[in-house]
Amino acid sequence: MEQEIVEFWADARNEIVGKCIQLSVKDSALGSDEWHQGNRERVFDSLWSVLLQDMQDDTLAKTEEVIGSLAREAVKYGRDVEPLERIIEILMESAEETARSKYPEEPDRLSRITGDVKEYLNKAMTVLARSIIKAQAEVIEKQKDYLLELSTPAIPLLDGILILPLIGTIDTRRAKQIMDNLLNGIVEAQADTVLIDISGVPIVDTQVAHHLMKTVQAARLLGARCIIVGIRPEFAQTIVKLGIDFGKIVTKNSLQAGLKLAFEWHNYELRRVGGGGHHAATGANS
Amino acid sequence: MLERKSSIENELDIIAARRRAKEVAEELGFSTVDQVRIATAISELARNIVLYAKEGSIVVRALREGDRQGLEILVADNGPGIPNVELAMTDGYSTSGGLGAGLPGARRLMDTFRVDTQLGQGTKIVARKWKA
Amino acid sequence: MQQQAPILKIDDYWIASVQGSLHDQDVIEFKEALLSKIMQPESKGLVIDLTVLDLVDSFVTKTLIDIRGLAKLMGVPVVIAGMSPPIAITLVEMGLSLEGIDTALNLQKGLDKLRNTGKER
Ligand SMILES: Nc1ncnc2c1ncn2[C@@H]1O[C@H](COP(=O)(O)OP(=O)(O)OP(=O)(O)O)[C@@H](O)[C@H]1O
Ligand SMILES: [Mg+2]
Repeated sequence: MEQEIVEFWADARNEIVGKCIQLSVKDSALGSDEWHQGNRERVFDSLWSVLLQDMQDDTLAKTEEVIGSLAREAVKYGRDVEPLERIIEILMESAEETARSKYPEEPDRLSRITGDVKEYLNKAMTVLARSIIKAQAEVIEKQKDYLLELSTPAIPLLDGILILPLIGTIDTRRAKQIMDNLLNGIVEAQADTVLIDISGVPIVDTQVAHHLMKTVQAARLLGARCIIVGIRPEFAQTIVKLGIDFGKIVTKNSLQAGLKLAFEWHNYELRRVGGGGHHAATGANS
Repeated sequence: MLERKSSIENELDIIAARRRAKEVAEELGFSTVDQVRIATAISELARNIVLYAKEGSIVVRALREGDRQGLEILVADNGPGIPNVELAMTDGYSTSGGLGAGLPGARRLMDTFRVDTQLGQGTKIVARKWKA
Repeated sequence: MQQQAPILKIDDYWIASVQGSLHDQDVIEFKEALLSKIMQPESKGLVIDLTVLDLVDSFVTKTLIDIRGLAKLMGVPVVIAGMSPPIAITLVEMGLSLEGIDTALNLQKGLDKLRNTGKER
């Protein structure tokens, strides 16, 4: 980009931003957009100043940063991203217009500048598109994390007893999440006993078995005992085949059996009280 | 880029080094668990310097590779070197009556771990951890 | 270390709370102080509370194992209480799972554990 025109643009900054605002009021994509109504001056101004700097240095680094953060913000708050496109276009339009009024007698120079502006416009648009895709990917990642968290709740059952029902496939990432969730859940509830139900996990491979071991060991270091229930025969075979030492891990074949053991540890007793039960009813008849 | 250096000569330096490492990890946005992992690895490597090499240095610095962000630990000493690295990296191996958990443990806490050692020259260790 | 780890006695149980960042000399002194306390004949047990400790490495782990080993020789049960999740995860990954050492979520639960083992004996 020609240095002289960039300097001229820098001097004419207020004029250009003013023109942008004028254009944007008439623009249908921007005129009705509430957020851009309120923020357009700031956006035009900051974007134009980084564009100017970048044109001077012949890079796009600062522009990328600003567009990136605008895109991220728009995606984060679920705003339409189209106005951002328009903002960049309007900026370039205004710049071109001011150039035209500066060099009315120099068509060659003007067409060179116009070409350069187009090029910058295209680059800026590419940056915007890339930033939007990246921002959306980030949001999706975050949602994934959130879903993972939701999908591994540690449920306080009774005073001091937590249940962790694991459902669905467990990969390394989810296994880590489960461990974090469970350990924090233990501390929060000050739970001495955790029932981990793995009957809902379709495949338990070495990795999963390993993570399960680590989780149980870490829970023990905190001061909580785990009971693993719902081990399928295939998993039992995996454990034996892999020579993983599950010897010190307490297992029960059903959630009921696990609960019974947990109650025992906590000195609870589960029994029916008064009438209402089947046995009580027959008892009353005889 | 973020970088902190600690010279290691005594046990007080061990604490200073791991505090610095934790600060860097925190600033880079590592999770609390990762901060503890990194500080613990530093504690092991720094103690090994004090125990076996008398003095050395530890640098902790930010790493960037494309979109990935991470942290790098550079350990260097001019001590006696490690005669058999594989053995030294084995759980339970110690020449000082320790648990022999320092090197193998630090390796597991980090994502990558490389030991370069020369008998009579010293030991260099480079370890990296990437942000999840 | 910023403060000496306080060692208190409740009934005949010893309670030691380890604070902040310990350097090696502190750890050694702490261990010696603890051992001299639990050596007293009326000692019934020891809870080591790690709630406010920032980090446990192999050296601290070894010290805990040593304390527990010596205490066991003297017939004094030991419970480690209040370890934080990040430290627990780190230790397990290092392969230091403190097998055989009793643990509790907090100091109170640690004391309860000791009282219960006392009853069983
Ligand atoms: N910087 C070093 N220079 C020379 N030898 C070393 C160095 N670091 C480790 N070693 C050797 O490797 C062995 C294993 O180290 P590692 O840290 O795994 O265990 P440790 O220091 O003996 O015990 P722990 O770390 O569990 O307290 C050491 O006993 C020592 O012989
Ligand atoms: Mg060591």
